[in-house]
Amino acid sequence: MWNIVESYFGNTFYFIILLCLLVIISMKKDIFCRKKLLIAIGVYCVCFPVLFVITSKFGLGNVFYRILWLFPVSIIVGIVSVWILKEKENSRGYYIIWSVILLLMLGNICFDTTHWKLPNNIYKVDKEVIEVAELIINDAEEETIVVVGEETFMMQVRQYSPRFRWGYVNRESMIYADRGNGSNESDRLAGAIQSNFFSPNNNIMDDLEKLKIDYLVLYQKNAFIEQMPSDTYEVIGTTYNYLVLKLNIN
Amino acid sequence: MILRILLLIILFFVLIWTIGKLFLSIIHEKENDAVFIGFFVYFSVFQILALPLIIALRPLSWLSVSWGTIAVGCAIVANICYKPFKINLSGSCIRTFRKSFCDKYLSLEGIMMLLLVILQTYIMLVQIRQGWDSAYYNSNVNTSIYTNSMYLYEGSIGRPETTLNLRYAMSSFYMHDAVLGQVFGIPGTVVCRYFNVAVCSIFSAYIVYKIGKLLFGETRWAHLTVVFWVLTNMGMGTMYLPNEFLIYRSNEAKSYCCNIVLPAIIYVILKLYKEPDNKMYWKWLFIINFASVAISESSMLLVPVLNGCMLLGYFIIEKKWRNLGKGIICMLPSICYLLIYLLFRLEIFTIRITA
Repeated sequence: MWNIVESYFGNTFYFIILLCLLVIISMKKDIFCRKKLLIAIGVYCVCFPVLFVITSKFGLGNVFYRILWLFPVSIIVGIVSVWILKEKENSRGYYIIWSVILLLMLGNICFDTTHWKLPNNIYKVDKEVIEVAELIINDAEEETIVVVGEETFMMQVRQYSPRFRWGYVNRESMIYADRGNGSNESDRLAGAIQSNFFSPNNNIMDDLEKLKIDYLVLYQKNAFIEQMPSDTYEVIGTTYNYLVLKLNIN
Repeated sequence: MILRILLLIILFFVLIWTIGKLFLSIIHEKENDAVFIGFFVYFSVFQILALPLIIALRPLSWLSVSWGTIAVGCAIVANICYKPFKINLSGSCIRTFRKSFCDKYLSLEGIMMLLLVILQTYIMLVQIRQGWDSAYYNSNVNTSIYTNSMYLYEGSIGRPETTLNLRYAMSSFYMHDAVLGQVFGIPGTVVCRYFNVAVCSIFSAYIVYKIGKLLFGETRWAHLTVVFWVLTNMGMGTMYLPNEFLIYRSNEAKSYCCNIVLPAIIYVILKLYKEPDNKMYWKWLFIINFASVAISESSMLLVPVLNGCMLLGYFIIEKKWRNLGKGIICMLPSICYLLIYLLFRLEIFTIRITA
């Protein structure tokens, strides 16, 4: 349980900031609801470990951190900041000083250039994923296109066009991909493509056939193409990173 | 496409204001919080409409047509029946509005607040962080529009489902995005990445403003609360904090849960703390609880816990134990959803999808 709290606050001192803010709230006697809030916080602290046990029993342990959302840290910081500034006469002069102190205390300023650049397309999908998707769409005869590829492509292609269907049977094949050593064809294929590892013992061609894959999206430099019989595929296009193959095995 | 999204956002806020005004008129309350309560009434009504259609495995177009009818109907009824809706474009009315806007927002604090919220919204709109969860939800909305169905296909993969996944299907939030996409001809991913994000940024800032106004009274301090809230959002970042979800994952319902639903409940219960005998806030609390799971399934557990903790403080200090029934009724929607989810999780309750 303590690991969850540590992960939530990212091994920073935000937790200490939150505790200090809660102490300030408890000491400010002019809040109209001080006692009620203190009781609420007390009840929450008592329930926290109980809830952890209950949620873990129902397999929801990985989302237990959301219980910490009940403390809206940003709002609490905003409120306490205003309390501090209200104490000062002619407080407007202190706005900038306090803002700088706050940002320095918090430490993670999202003002690097990656946060300001406009995306290069309205879908916010990699340009290259769109290029590959368009290559396939222009070639495909069927409405539904079954495709397998590496992680970035697979994560984004269906956000661009719902005509695509994954050849993998679930997300876990991609997320926990191993080097072609999975227990089923989906895991083996995802592992082999993701790690760009082709082994004649892995029966990749059998796996591609069983999963009824129409198109294969590989890295330009890949371990597959030389090992695949030339009559089983056709290269329909390339992009900067990817090679797009249409399979002829189904 | 950008203009369509902008139009959609404006229409959405006008619609929730209309629905809020209508709701407050129906319950005979003069409270001036139409946008706040209208947002939750909107999603409550949408959920009442959508959930039976989702469970009955009906096409998405049925939901789009029925929702469009209700939305237009609300606008017409509101304009015919209620004088407050009649927009007066006379010179004096415009001057009054301009003076009221300038008094409220054209102070140093007001301008700082507006600029920072615009900056925050811009950063949220342009960022392109990818994740498996976002991919799942965006693809789900895309697929729903493409196949004119609701939760009949697995979001990430696109494969037809054999049972309705109640982990996601009980919340109509993403089908709301699909309806908007279908009606306005906007791809699902674009609705999620722009409409959801803009609405989350603006409305969460509005709730923080309301909390600041409640605690400090003066508009100036309410503006400053939002200013420092935005600065904290930008200055703080770990994977799980609400502001991380706000800045990077506002296309997802989880961000709405932690940045809109939970603060809204805190706001209403603070109102109850301040005015313990005001029955209206119990009605508001019920509406927000009802809408909470419509907006995000994460609310199923979080909302009853938050209600329970904060209302215990109210009952112990105020000793108004006769209101205990109201408190339990408010939590009932979330508890019902939680029970159904647990039955689904234990595979006692499933809905099969037949071809």
